Amino acid sequence: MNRQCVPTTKGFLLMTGVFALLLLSGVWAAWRIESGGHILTGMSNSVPWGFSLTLATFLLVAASGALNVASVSSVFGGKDYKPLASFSCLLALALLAGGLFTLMLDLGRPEQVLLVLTHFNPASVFSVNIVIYAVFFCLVGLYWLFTCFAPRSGGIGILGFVSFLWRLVMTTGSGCVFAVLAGRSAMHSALLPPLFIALSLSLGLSMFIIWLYKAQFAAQRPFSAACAEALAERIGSLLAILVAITFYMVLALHLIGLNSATLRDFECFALRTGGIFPILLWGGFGLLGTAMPLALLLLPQFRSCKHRLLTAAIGVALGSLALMYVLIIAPQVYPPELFPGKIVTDAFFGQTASYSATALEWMVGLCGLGLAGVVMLLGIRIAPVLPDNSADGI
Amino acid sequence: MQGLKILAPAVFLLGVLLCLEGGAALAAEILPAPRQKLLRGHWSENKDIMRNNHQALLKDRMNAVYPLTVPQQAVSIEQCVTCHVTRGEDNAPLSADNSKHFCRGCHARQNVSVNCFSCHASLPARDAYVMNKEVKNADMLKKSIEQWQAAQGGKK
Amino acid sequence: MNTFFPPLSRRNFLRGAACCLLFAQGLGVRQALADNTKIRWGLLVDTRLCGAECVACVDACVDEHALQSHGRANTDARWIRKVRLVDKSTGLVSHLPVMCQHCADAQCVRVCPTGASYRRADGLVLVNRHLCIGCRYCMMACPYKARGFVYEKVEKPVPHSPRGMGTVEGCTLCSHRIDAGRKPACVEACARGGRGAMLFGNLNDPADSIAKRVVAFNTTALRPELLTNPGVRYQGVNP
Repeated sequence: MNRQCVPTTKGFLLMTGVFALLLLSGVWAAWRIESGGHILTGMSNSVPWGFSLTLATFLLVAASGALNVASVSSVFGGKDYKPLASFSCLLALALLAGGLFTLMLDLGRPEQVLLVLTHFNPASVFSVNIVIYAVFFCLVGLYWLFTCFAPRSGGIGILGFVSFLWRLVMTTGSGCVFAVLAGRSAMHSALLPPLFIALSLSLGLSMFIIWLYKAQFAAQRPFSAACAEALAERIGSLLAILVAITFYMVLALHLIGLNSATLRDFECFALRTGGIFPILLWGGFGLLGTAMPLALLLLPQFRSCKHRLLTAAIGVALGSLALMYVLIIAPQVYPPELFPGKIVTDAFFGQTASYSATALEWMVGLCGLGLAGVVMLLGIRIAPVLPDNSADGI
Repeated sequence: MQGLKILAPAVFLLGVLLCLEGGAALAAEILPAPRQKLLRGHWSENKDIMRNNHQALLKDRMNAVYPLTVPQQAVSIEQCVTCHVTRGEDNAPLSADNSKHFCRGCHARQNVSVNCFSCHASLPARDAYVMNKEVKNADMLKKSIEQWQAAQGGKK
Repeated sequence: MNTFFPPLSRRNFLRGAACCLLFAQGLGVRQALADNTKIRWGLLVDTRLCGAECVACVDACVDEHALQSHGRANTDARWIRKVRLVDKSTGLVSHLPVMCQHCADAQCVRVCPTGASYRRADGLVLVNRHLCIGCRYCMMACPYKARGFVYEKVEKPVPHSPRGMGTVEGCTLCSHRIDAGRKPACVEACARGGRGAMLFGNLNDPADSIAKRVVAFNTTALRPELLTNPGVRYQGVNP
């Protein structure tokens, strides 16, 4: 197996153009919001964290999951995945950079972001996460360099193991951002960090598959046929298992909620009466994100279906985004249980808030995706990341 | 020859360091006033002291307001702009929206942006909560400063 | 010879002891400054005296801090809100104002990444807007939805209440008034309107009327199960 830099093909330029456009439009949108105020977004005093933050969290969770393949190759002895380990590391770094960039652009005063480092509050999960992300960058960056330039060295095993542990820490941190909010009981669940870990596993692998196809389009060269088929089979079964685990976690969360006196009403809202939220949960996560991929990957009828892996991966990614939207936005929209046992006739405390993301929010959210794409394309261009077409197997 | 290769960069670095230190010493000449005098008597010394050090002064007061303890008598930028006023054609004080505002005029020339007045009021305050006893009556104070400066000028 | 603890001269021993004493005293002073238990400002709201249609406290707060209304209820700044409650089981109707509860164990202080959200030694929970980056985590964390965000440019900030776009804000219990020895604007407005439903005072001073009433009557906190220990207590309603 040889790794080579990707040449500047037409596909590469097209992809770079698309992602650069997303990045630049997002930066412009962030500038508009900063000069005009957050009134230009759909956020309100009831829904302070909107769609751009949902996309940022989506990218952060995907980032830790994108390291899956590299972890399997070096920690769990999956030698067949070794050719793709380098791309896996690069994708993790790119998605993390994208997610953090969106997070930063969404701030009310992004120019003051350095205050988080100079006035560090160790009790805040946000602050601790910044440290975790920085260590992740260093660890995975080092791991990536090793996989690119010294793939047979002994240090890779240790680096892979430490990176695997650290990505679990990172995903737990991302889940804890929401799980520590005691004031919002719909989020305040011990199941949330493990759910995020499960989600990162399935979402990460699906994003890896999608972006591998993108990279292949950019490189204008596929893998050798034998390698691709065998790998696709194994990755497909792995994805199916991870999707099932995620579904189990979400099921557990909602079943426990339904049986809780305080959360029962909220669960009815999220699952039945909440307008867009049941649609996203059942249709987005349930159908598109779980049932469809499992059917495509496991049922023998679809075995000969072309591009079934890519379709399943896209379904999982969209389903995860829908789930994240419901997890983050629904508890904000639902009125707080400030006065249990009382009917509250006040729009702010008693009624469901409405929220719809504006175009500027979409642009800021997708800006992270744009940055991730640009970083990824730059990486495969300047470093030997992708395995070439050589027929000498893995 | 070999020695020269090591010596030349070392001499260069030494020269740079000396220049920097010399520059620092030069800058130090502009702030001879001790800190106490700087905080309380800023209008009585030469303008350059305030011009060079008002950023440090503002930051110091800004950070002093929010300690963990109960803050002492509130100090705020509104007290500064109560005396440092530029007036328009109708003799009304100009707010920071106007480019001729006291702070903005100088900062525009120096090309340094400040966003203090995105939160703070920029017009003179007569508010009892804002004014401390030093600047309670800005007009009277201004008059006494002018008289003192005239007296200083007369002595020379 | 004992190299770990070489023999000390008497002078050095006395010097060391003095330093230790000073250090200990310094720690003690810092502790006292960090948590001024002599003063804890609080509010007591008697909901039985709160009027159904009265919004004097809300209007006073808006006037005092120049909270502009743009006609957008979702994003307009409101540091205090009037709420009407109907008990599901008894049908009892009560009215009360809800504002920042100035909790002793504040969730917002814990989650703020820069420490902009902080608790003053006399019990007020405030936002240091110089440090606020506008991440809105405190808005997510607050169990009482007390914090708001400034969505638009502040046109004419008042001198005693600086507030700017892109930062988070909330009820300050009129800290500028308290520091000048006066009462919060909402409390004064309530008294002026003849209702006197809001009582302001020092919860830690046993001689203060608010402390006496909190001890004597059954006052409740909002969301008591969260153990936030708020400085705002309510009388006449069991939330």
